[in-house]
Order: sequence, then structure tokens, then C-alpha cells
Amino acid sequence: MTNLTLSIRNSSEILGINERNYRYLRLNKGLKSLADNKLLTKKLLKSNDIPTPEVYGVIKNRRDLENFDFDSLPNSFVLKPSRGVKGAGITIYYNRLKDGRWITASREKHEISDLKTQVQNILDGQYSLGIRMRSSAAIFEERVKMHPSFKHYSYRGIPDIRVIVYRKVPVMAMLRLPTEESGGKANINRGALGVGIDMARGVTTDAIKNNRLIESVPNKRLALSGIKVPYWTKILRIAHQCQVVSGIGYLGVDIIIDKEKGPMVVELNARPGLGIQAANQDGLKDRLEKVRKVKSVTESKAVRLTKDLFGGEIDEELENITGRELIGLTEKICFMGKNMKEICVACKIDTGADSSSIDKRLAVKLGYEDVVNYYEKIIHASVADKQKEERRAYKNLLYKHKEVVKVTHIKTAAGLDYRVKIELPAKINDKEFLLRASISNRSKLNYPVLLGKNDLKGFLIDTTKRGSNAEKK
Amino acid sequence: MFNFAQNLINQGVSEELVYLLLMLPFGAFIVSFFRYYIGLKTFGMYETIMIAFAFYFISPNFVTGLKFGLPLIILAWLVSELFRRGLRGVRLHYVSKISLKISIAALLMIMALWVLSYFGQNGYFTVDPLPIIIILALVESVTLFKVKFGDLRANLSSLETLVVSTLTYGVLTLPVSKEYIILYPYLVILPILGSILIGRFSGLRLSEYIRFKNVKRND
Repeated sequence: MTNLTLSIRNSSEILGINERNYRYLRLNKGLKSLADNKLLTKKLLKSNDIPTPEVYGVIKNRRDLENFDFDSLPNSFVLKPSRGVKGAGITIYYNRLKDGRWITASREKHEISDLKTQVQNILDGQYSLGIRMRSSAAIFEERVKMHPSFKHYSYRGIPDIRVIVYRKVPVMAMLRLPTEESGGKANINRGALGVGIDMARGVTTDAIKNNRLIESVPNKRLALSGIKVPYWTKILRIAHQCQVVSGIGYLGVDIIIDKEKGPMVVELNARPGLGIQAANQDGLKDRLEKVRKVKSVTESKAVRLTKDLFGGEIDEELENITGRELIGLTEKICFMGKNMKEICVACKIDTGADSSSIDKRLAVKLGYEDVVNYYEKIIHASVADKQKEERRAYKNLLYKHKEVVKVTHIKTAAGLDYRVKIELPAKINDKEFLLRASISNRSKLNYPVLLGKNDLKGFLIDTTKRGSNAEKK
Repeated sequence: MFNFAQNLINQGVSEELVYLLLMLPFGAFIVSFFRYYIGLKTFGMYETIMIAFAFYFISPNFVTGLKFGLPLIILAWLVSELFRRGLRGVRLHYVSKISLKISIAALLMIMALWVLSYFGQNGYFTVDPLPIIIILALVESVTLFKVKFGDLRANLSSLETLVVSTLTYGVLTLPVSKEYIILYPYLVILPILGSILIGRFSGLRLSEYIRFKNVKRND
């Protein structure tokens, strides 16, 4: 029962078949035939310079079949119907043996006569869309070579990336990994894995198999989250281009990544499935709603929108981090003196210290002579042996100077001592901040300024970063 | 109000014909309701309604209809299934394979009738031949679905088709249906309005609530 109430709460975000058909597929009217016909699609993509696998030959009818020279085919290719549905009727041929037979993905050996039968079945419309048989052309296509990123995740077949595009903005994406159950086909209805992708970074998130959440590749200890999809930004660009050139309003673009050629479009889908929502653990409805009002977008804007709107939580964390200035262990720090003269010195970043300190001679140079003298006049000797009341009197006296923002007592080798802190505007790289530093004698130390934790809030420290070469002293 | 149904019957049109014509919208409504609200994917409107009406032609009595109809369905399904496996290695044209399967189903039916008569079960001899032919020809639908959507989906669809058509058949055999539809033939407007309503429904199907129940909110 809790499950059901939970799902009803979520239902506002999930896009169902009814709504997809009713609201979104009507955008594709008249264009479905384009997407369903792979040959037309290919022609369109080719003429617009969108990468797509090479076509070696097409058989449209019986006469073509009789005249077709099967020996002209390369050793490795894919045979598929031009009007296929859900990966049916696709045979992958890996290699040709010396006796002239080809080896398929399922390790069968096919002669030319077997190929002819397969072509005949395709021509008969066995695999075509819809309940009634419609004849379809058979296409011989380049076999795409697996990108090494996916090698261990995929069973035999080549994984592909499905991107849903609406209003020319990619809204959701999924990596589909073939499994043994799916027979090497990247079809999640046949048991392939559907892995959600974070739109901002192109890194996988959640994964499903047969609509159930899973963590790792079946029978392997390989986590399915965190896979980095190569060429991610290019994939988003291609997805955008596909919608622009095809005009299909609610589009599923299937992209495959070749080892050498990079991303290539294998198919345009005018009624993309909804399982992608389970793979991403997120509903499409909200995402579609977000881009509904988007008018015309350029390619780069589409990519930016996608990344901004549909990046995951981890990305927000990164955003917080990137707002900070990255610094090394030593940096150049610049002060604006009271005489409006800028002085830059080297400073040491010390996360072991709480507060920062500045050399008194530097403070004098910057125009804080008055406070330095005032401080030295009062604290002329160690105050360690003084009584409590007397010490308090010292402290109050120190606070009387208007430039003293804090008085702290510290324990030194000589005993108890007082330090005064002043505030002065400082700058590291381009980041300006108010440095609160205690005045001390650092004449024997390498760096006239030390930055402690209290003043490092706006910074990220990279211990490998080389400090800027401001002279130490 | 003018009762056109009764009037037709009075003029000599068979009551059965009037009744079934008036019930057809109800059948269609049930099929579409199950598709869009429940999410049961049947083989299609035609196949589902055909099975329901074939059952009805076997017998207007629900129990009798199922008693003779279900074995027929199972026979058709088994032939489709077993010979799909059996013929997998044999390279034949697609339509030839279906034709082969239908022939096998027909021959098996003849054998079954022979066995039944041997045991004195003569019930089948009184059954109208047309529904038998209709059901056996379903072999094609099953095969088609298997090729296109894979075994699992096709088997589910077979089951779902059976459920929906049995339900439709149940409605056809209800005594109240017959009584009321002839008495108040304007009731036929209900499934028509209902179909329009279904046609505008854009919510989630029951099956989708189940399918996406694991999707957690990512906010």
C-alpha cells in the first residue's frame, strides 16, 4: 500500500504512455515515416553532415536481391530492415571464414543462401512496424566498433545512448548495455540494461534491468554508476542537430560510439519508450515542462540549457566548489596601503593555524604605523607575571585604539603575551577579502604574511599547485 | 422513446444480430478501457473482440463457451509456441511458416475431434465451425507478436488478450445485458461517450503505477 501511495505522489512527474501519445507524439505527425525508415533517415543525416554508419548496400525488392553481389560485402557488417521495430530483425556479422561463410553475433555460420533468406524475410515485412505486414528494404551497414569505455560492460553487442530531445533541448539520456538475455541487442524491452546519465557531466547514475534497479553488471562486479560516457558534449550537440534537421518534435536519438570515429547516429525514434525514466530514477514530465517555453535555441545554448537544467545533485556540489578560488600552499597576496600604494608579497597558507599574522614592518609600510607603535608602547615587556586585574587593564587599554579589532593573548616560550589584530583589505589572484591579521615580528621567517583557517573560507587549497613567484621577502 | 431495437426484431431481424451489433460498442469500449486505464496490451481490437464473439458463438452460456473455447485457444497457442521452437532452425519464408503452423493446428484439431469422439465426448460436433477457424487462425497473431516484441511480451499479451476477451465474453453472456440492451437500446450511447472520455485520458495507466513504483524523487 505504501508503494502505491508513493507512486501516486510521484505520478505527477512520470510521463505515461497515454500522455506521451496524446500530448507529445502529435508533434511528430507526418514525420513518423521518416524516423521509421532508416534509409530516409540516413540520407537526411548524411546531407546535414551528421555522422552515421556507412551503408554498403540496399535491397529494396526481389529483383535487387537477385542482382545483389553478396561477395562485395566486407567481412563484417550489419544486416537490418529499413523499417525495423525495437531492434527486431537485426543480424550482426562479425567476420567471414575462409569457406565464405559469415559468423553472426550469436556464433551461427551463415552462407550466402542464409543471408538471402534473411533478406527475404525482411522484404516480406516480418519485422516491420505495426500489426499488418509491410514490406521493408534490407540494409547492409557498417559494423560499429566498440569504444573501449564500454568494453567490459557490454555483452557482445554495441551499447548505444538514447537521448530524448524536445524543443531542441536534450532532456534525458540513457546508456543501453546489451546483455546475454537481450541477445547482444541494446533493447531494454529484451533485457538490456538501461543506465541513467547525468546530463551535466555525462556520467551514469542509476541502472535498471527488466525494470528493476540493479547496481552492477550481471555476473560481474562492475558498478554501473559512474561510467563516463566519452564525447558527452558532442553527443548532446548531435542530438540537438538531429531534431533541427528532422523536425521531429518529440524525438529519441540513438547514438553509438565508434572506437575511431566517435559518436554516430544509428536511428531516430519518433516514439521513444518511457523506460528511460526508471533508468534515470526521474520523471520526464517535469523536464519537458521546463523546456516547453523555450523558443529557438542555438546548438551551444541547447547544450548549456541541458547541462544547467538537468544536471544532478552532485553537480550542484561542484557548483558550490567552483565558486571558490583555487590556491596553492604559497600565494602572492596584495595589500592596498593607506597611501593607495599596492604592495604585493608572498604569503604562506597554513591550515594548521587558526588566525593569520602579518609582519610588523609590512604593517608599518602599509600605513599602520600608528597602531604598531601604540601596541609596542604598551606591551614593552612580558605580561606573564602580571596579576589578572592588571592584565585586563592592559587589554582594555589596547582596545582603545580604533584600529585594533581584537586582542588575543598567546602563550609563547617566554610566557603569556598579547597580540593585537587589525583588519586590512587584501587580494589573492582576483579575489578580494578583508584580512584580519595579528601584528607580529616575522623578520626571521620566510614569509611576511601567514594565512590561517579563519581567513581561508573563500578558498580551496590544492597542495600540488605551484605558488606564484612573488619574492619571499 | 422509440425502441428501434424492438422494432427491428418485430420486423423479422434476428434478435441475436440486433443484440450483438448493439453489444459491439461495449466490447470495443472494454478493450480500450483495459488498454488505456489498466494497461493490458492485447493483440489488438480485432483479435480480442473476435475471441469474445467466437466464444459467444460456441455457446451463449459462459461456462459452456469457456469449456469448449479455452482448449481451442490453448491448442492454437501451443502450436504457435512449439512449432516456433521446432521450426527455428528450418529456414523457410515467414508466411510459409505461418501457413505451416495453421495447417498443423487444423490437423491437430481433426485428431482431437477424432479422439474426443472415440471417448464419446460429442460436444464439439455441435459447435459452429466458424469460431473454431477464427481461433485457430490466431496462430498468426501470436507468431507476429513473438517476432516483433519477443517471447515475454508476446506471452504476456496472449494472456492479457485472453483475460480481456473472456471478460468481454462474460459481459455478452450476462442475462441483464440482453434484457436491458433490447429494452433500452439507447444505452449504446454510454460506451460511445466512454470511448471519447478514454480517448482524452492522459494520466498514468495502472500498469505504469506498478512499473514506475520504484522511481524515487530526485529533488
